[in-house]
Amino acid sequence: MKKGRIAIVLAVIAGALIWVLARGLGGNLVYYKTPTEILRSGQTLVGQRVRLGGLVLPGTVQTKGRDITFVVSDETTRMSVVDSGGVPSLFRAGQGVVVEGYYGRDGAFHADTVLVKHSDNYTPPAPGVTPTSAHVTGG
Amino acid sequence: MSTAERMMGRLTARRGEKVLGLLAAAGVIATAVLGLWVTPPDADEGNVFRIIYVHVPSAWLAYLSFFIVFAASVAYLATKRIRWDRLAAASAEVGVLFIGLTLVLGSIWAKPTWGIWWTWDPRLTTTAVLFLIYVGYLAVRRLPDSPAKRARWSAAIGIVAFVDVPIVHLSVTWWRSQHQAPALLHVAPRMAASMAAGLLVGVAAFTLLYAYLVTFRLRVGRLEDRAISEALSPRLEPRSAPVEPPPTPPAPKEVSARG
Repeated sequence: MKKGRIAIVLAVIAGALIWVLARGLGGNLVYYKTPTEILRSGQTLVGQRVRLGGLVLPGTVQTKGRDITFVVSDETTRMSVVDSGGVPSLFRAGQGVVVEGYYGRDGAFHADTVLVKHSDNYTPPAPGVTPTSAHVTGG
Repeated sequence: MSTAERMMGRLTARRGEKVLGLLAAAGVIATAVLGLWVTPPDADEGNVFRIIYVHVPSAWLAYLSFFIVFAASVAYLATKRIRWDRLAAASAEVGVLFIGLTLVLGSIWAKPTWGIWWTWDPRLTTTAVLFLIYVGYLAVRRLPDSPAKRARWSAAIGIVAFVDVPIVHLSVTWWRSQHQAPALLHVAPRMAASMAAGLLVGVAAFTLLYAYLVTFRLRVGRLEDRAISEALSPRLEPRSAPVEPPPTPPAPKEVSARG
């Protein structure tokens, strides 16, 4: 009885560890795909919710009505993104992003969530510049 | 040991504890002053960046706690001395508190910078698993069993569970993630010198805080064990035939279930 309960708890722990390892090593559970990978998978991805990661190409960010469009690049492939869910306040050209949504038949990525990927570099602002603090937007 | 001697022992123990507590408080205040006023804001993130001065030290404290759980568990299995089991228990409690704090602080930092409160990236997922594993560890410790058995089972889990700590730490280098890599752990830290200094002071302060909290929890653990053994044994004394002399406290092996 007591041993049984300990066995259950241990099984849960072991299960959690296996799950983590499976997430890390299993190819389907990669956190985001690059534009090249999405292009290579092509139509098999249509209709599947995926994450796309890369850099926002400078000069490509445009606002069209409620949508924001931009191009995400991994330095090999460029992929157009149409985002309908708004962007965080730190979103800007040249920044790393992870976008969530669907790869469309039109060859564009239709996103509803944009996550800004911050680099591991931290620097003080240039002399005389007051950085506009990042603030919570939306819910 | 006479009662007076025991009282003296307890008083000296508490003096060291007080010194640790004062040092930890001074360190935390120094971290707050450095983090909030002395260091500059980040060029990109502005003042939100300052949460790093508690987020990173919290994570460090949790790693340290779980390493001590691991080491104390090995020591218990090697020596079978209950004090190692008490140390593992105390350290795990502090670790769970601070890994939970790390998750909450990280989430508060993520919303204004990444744009979301939570995402299932490898770093966040493995950290959540780490939290759950050690909550499980504390749950196992509360199962009714003999102290020796409980200590043995806990030690086994305390050793195996530590596997997740390096996985958490290296997740950002092994796999693609939302979470950034450590900025401080480079030959030339990827942050301004004053920021790196503030972060190091934070790490030192939280290390002192860990030592204080574990010392405090160990004393409470010893008192708990003594209270239980004293509550269980003296009732038998007035009866006629003395089967065996009353156990000298602390005799934790005599203890059965704990509340």
